[in-house]
Amino acid sequence: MCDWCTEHGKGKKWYMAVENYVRKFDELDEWLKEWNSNYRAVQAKLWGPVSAEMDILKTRLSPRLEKLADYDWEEGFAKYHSSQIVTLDEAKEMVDVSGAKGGFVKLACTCRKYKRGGKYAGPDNTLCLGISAYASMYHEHPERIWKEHKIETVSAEEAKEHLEKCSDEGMCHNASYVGSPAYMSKLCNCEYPVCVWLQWRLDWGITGILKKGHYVASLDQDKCTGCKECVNACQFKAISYSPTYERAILKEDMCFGCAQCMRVCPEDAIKMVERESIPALKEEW
Amino acid sequence: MKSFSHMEVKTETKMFPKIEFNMESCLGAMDCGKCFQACAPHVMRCYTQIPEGHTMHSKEWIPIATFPSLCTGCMKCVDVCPKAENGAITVKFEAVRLPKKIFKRT
Repeated sequence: MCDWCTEHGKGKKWYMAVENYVRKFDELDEWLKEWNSNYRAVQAKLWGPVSAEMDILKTRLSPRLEKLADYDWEEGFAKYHSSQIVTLDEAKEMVDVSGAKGGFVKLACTCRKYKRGGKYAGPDNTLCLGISAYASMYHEHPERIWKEHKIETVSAEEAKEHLEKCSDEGMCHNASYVGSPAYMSKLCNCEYPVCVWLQWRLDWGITGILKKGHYVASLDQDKCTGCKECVNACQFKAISYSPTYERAILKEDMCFGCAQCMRVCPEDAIKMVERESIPALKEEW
Repeated sequence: MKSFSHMEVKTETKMFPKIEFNMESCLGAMDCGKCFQACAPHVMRCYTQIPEGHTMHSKEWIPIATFPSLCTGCMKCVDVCPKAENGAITVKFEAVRLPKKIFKRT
């Protein structure tokens, strides 16, 4: 159990607690009210110059950017908009838990829109699955929808099918909240490096933006035949192939617990174990 | 700020890219966008400064280089740019002093 679970989970994992799905989008804190009234301005403010200057700040030590260093990015993201990796089974369970509270919408992925542009930002870019917060936002405030985007309302079964399809294509799932901590908003289907969560965590080491999942992959070395399927499936570079041993090598400390390796393994050599069961990784999130 | 604490320690001189866009000849990020779609490590992305009333297909969407430290200098962005000869995108490498360890894999 991570600290979000102990704080907001009511004894369960935070994304499995029904309480975190039922609040209304408009009842959230001041920051989100600003987001509500001027959604695009805040988005541009949050993702625009900030990310450009963060990089320069980290690499060039420009004195003009000193004031940016005062802002605690770790805490800022953890407070407003953060996420955690979940497995496909957990994601499907989340669809069940969220139930009819807001419904499901397939909406445009903002990361892909900003990172790829052009035809990738067009109407076919409907990979994110909005639940709860985002679903209610798209129902109650249709004026906030980017007009060029296609917004699809889907049933629970279609949502699960969509998640499975994304898993088959090698994307990992992210449970993300918006506004006050642990208020469920989206189930992202992410790929490195297009995804903002993954790139900021992996390339910049900002841990506040993305938490590791509750599971860790565990490799059975006797069953492994060295087919390298899992090496391709891992987006976090946690698995490599060893020509000496003629099998895969799994670095548990780099595993985020997305379970993609388990999904592609033809020999059932990889299984997911609870993070709590590994002493060294117990507090690694 | 705790995550920048390593910056005081050591620096090294390294070749660092300076990626610049000339918006007068650039076709716009949403209409063209070939430069950042060709970039494998995602150094660039598109961005709009006008919060209200923008449409997706307009020059208001501009490309910016958000992760210059990931640039390898492969120049694919310049190769695919239809307006490269007009100076829409230029990549120049210059020596700068950088902190010794920028990235940590987590």
